[in-house]
Amino acid sequence: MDIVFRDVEHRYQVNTPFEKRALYDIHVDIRSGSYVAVIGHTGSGKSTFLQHLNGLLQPTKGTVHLGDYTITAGKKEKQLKPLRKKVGIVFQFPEHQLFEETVEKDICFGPMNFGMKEEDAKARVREWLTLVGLSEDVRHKSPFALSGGQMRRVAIAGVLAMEPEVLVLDEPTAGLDPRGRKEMMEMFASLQQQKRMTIVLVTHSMEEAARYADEIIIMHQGTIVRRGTPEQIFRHVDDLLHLGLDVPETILFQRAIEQKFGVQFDAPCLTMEDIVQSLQMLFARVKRT
Amino acid sequence: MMNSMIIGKYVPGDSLIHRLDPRTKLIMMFIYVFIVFLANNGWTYGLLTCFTCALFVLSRIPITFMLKGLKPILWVIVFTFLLHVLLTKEGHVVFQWFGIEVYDKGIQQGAFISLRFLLLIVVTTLLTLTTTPIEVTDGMESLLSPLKKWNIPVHELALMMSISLRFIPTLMEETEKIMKAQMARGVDFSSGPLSERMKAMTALLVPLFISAFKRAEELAVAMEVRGYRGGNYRTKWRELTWKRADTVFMLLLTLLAIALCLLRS
Amino acid sequence: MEVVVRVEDVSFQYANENIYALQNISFQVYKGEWVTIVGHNGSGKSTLAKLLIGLLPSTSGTIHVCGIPLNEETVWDVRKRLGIVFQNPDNQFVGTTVQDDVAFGLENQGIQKDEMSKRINEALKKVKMEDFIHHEPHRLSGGQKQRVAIASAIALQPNVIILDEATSMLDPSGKKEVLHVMESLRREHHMTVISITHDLNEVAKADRVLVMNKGRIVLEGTPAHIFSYGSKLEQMGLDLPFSLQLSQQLKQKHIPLTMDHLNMEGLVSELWTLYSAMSNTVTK
Repeated sequence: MDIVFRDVEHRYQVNTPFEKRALYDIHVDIRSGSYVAVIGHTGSGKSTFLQHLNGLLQPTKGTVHLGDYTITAGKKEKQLKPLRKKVGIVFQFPEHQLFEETVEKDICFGPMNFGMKEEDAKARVREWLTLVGLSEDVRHKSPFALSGGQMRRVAIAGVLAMEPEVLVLDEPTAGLDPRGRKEMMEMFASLQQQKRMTIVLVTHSMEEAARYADEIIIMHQGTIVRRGTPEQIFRHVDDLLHLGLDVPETILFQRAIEQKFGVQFDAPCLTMEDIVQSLQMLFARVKRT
Repeated sequence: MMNSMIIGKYVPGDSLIHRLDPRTKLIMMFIYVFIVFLANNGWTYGLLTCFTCALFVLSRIPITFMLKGLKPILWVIVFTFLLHVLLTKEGHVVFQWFGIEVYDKGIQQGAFISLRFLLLIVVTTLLTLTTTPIEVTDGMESLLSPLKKWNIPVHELALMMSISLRFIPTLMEETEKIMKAQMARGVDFSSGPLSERMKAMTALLVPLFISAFKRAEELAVAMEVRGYRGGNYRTKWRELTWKRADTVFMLLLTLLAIALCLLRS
Repeated sequence: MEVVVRVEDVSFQYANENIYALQNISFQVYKGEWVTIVGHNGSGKSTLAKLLIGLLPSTSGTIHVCGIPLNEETVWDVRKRLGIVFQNPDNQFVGTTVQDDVAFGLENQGIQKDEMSKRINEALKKVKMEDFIHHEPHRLSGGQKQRVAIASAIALQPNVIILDEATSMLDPSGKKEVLHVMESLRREHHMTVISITHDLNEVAKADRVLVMNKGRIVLEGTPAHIFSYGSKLEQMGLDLPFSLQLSQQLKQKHIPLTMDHLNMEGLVSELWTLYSAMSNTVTK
């Protein structure tokens, strides 16, 4: 499902003294099956942006195309439910949305809202639990008896159970410890591979964006200021620093090396392996000459 | 987003009325509610209206805010007026229309009662527009403090009030977040059969309650480690100070009351 | 050196669980020191914080704060000597405005109005929040709320401040704000700090680090010493600083580094030394 934004604007509380433009001039194309990271400070408009992806918010100007759906400013959209099935959103701290007595019931809640039969949903709970790396033991437990990390996984399973084509993740690793963060990110990467899902990841972490995304969108004060592949984005480190954003440590390190050695690497190093490789090549060249 | 709607009744400002002690404002409002009923003729109603308008002008609140506050009760006032006009059968008939007779006394009665109603609303609205909820709480605590003698936990009640006020915006935001998360899971809060709506409400209320309890627990711990052990021995940061303006306003109100007594027929 | 906190052989077991959440914990914190306690979620580090402020009673062992043994009678006394900042910025903001929040603790201690006003201003200045004195909490960012929480703690003039994962719910800029404030407090006011965290940047700033795993202190030492354990930390679910990981990987690829570097400058300069040496021998 391709996603296309054309000249989208969003204002909160239109025609009141509190009117605020949260989003403007948004032109985006997200190809089906791609992994896009959206980066920006708190208040940059990224959470307003992501709520346009399944019609939780509608533009006050412009058009959003989501597969066969077109949401145009000013037109009242009636049938948003089928759209919401196709675009699953995992909000920040998704464990705060759990409410059923058992993990099983909570996971089935979404699919059943979209018309799946109870027995069909139940039959697939095990599969969904496996997707998020949980064992069948938790199935009949209360979600509130689980650890924080497990609760989050249950909540994510509840969204995956809707079998969306697009998965929107709003800072899915917030508050997790380093191991938890890594496991979570690996899980999404493999989901994208297995299920051929489109992933839109909203994050603060440049490292995560550099490592996992095909494309990075940088938002600042309500609009998109940079777009490109990680290589393209991290070629212009000064731009990022100027916007007050973090830069991955690999890139900072590369800069330090380039300055000290008076050399220029071919491409930005996005992972530690890239750096090791580049340095090996550098040292090998010296040996040869 | 929703914050401004709930707390937004207060209009920040630095007028004479804003700066009055909340106790003064509370007592004045209380007394006003009684003396409004002293008025029963043109003179007394005129005086009362002048006094109320003066208060309003002094508050420097834009008239639009007041009108917005009055809008929802406008029809009540109109209804009261019509009721009196139609049902009062005293004085001279002013006009007749399809067998309905309207008397001059009826019009007068209707106008007076509606005006009385209007004045009451204006004064109470003025209080909320010029006083922050926390000032009202402080004022209440101070005025009710004699009740402590009878073991009524005035301090605790006031603290409860102020903490609730503090958490209203937080919980409103939380409600919005949970609603959105559940809507993304296919919940429809605005339509559908009753049974589905009930389910929708559970999906909102259960997480909301869980979160509220968690917040309450963490807040209690935070208060405890900062040394909170109830109201005894506590000093107060927000001390209310009775200023000259407060005395002046109380005197004016007393004069108004006396004048009303003398002028009423 | 003066001992501010002394924990001796403390164990703790939650009522309905059969494993110990904390086992034979002993450590001391000296005046002016910044001690960081790290461990993954569930390692027992937050339970330890609850014990230190007397929210949970230890099953065995003793805790002394400024020489006072912590028990039911002394708990309020001990709390006067400790300030704590919790994880969730919203759930520890008691007041309706910034100044009311800082005042809350002072009111509890029965401090007079003039003194209160002085302390509120000083404390807010120290965390650089003096311009927000009348702000309501919902108009502040997470980082700002945490700075107010720090101000509320230091206004009570405690001997030690505990940060219980105080930055874990903040965005990167919020984290930075809070860490800057804590550093300036330490530099200018010699504050004693116990910081409980899994944030690497906080670990690197510490004078001393305690690593917790499964309810025990498994490692103790300077950040450099702790990080030298490398893979052992990774097994416990902790992260390693970037330069250290890179040093190790380069060594595996036969780049002859002499040590594992904790900061980038060190690593870059050793690489440069190696590189120049090699190109010199080649040209000769």
